[in-house]
Amino acid sequence: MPVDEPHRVVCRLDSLLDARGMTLAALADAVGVTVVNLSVLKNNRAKAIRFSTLTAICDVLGCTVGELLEVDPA
Amino acid sequence: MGERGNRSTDRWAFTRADRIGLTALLFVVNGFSLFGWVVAPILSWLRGDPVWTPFISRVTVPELDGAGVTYSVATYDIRVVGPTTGQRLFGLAVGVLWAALLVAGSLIVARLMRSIAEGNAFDRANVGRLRWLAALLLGAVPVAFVVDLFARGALVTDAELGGLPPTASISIPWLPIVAGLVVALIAQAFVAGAALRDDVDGLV
Repeated sequence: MPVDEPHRVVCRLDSLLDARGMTLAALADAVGVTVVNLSVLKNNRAKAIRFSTLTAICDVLGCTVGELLEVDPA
Repeated sequence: MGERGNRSTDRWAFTRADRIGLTALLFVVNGFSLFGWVVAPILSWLRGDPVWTPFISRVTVPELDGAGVTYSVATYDIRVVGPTTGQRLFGLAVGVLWAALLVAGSLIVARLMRSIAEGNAFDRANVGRLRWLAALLLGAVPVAFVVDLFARGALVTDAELGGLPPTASISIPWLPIVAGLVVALIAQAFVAGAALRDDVDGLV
């Protein structure tokens, strides 16, 4: 698939937050990313994510990258 | 240039004051140029004034022959009395052409400046604006130079030159050509900047 085509990566941040009873604002505070940016990620509007952001989110939520991000089957 | 106080040490930062200053300068330059290229010739035409035009001819100074001088060409401002309507119109058309180029270039610079001030320097539209500016400098300005030369030549043909032969002097307008190439180069840098911005857009 050429890189400029739409991706099929889905972010499961919503369910991870629900499972932990955590708000987006609290996560943003803990990770050091703005709520706006995390909202973009949660609503699957992000096109890319920094490794540092990914690491911080996984650390705070205690999850793996695979639990946070999935690739939808074609 | 530069921010006041301790807010920034970047003395070359293009601040709001610089933008206001450049805008004012563009207004003044455009105003004077429009008057000189368009309004003044029309008023002169209405008053029936003669037209002054540069005339290039070989100059000789026999008194200096003994010293062994090398003669060259010189430019004189000659008065053309009673130019025809066609000559007037041709001269006016050249003035309008120069004025249009200046206004177009100024508008492009003003829009670029506003876009950069709004934080959208690497907007795709700015690439187009810079390329239009480069096209003006590289293409339109040299063409205007040639048209201007023809307009002046048309005036000189009917003038009383006292037997002096007119000399053709073609000077290539290097400055706008080089400036146009530099602007085209900057436009290419903006292409890369716009691509980088697209990559960063949506990055968390």
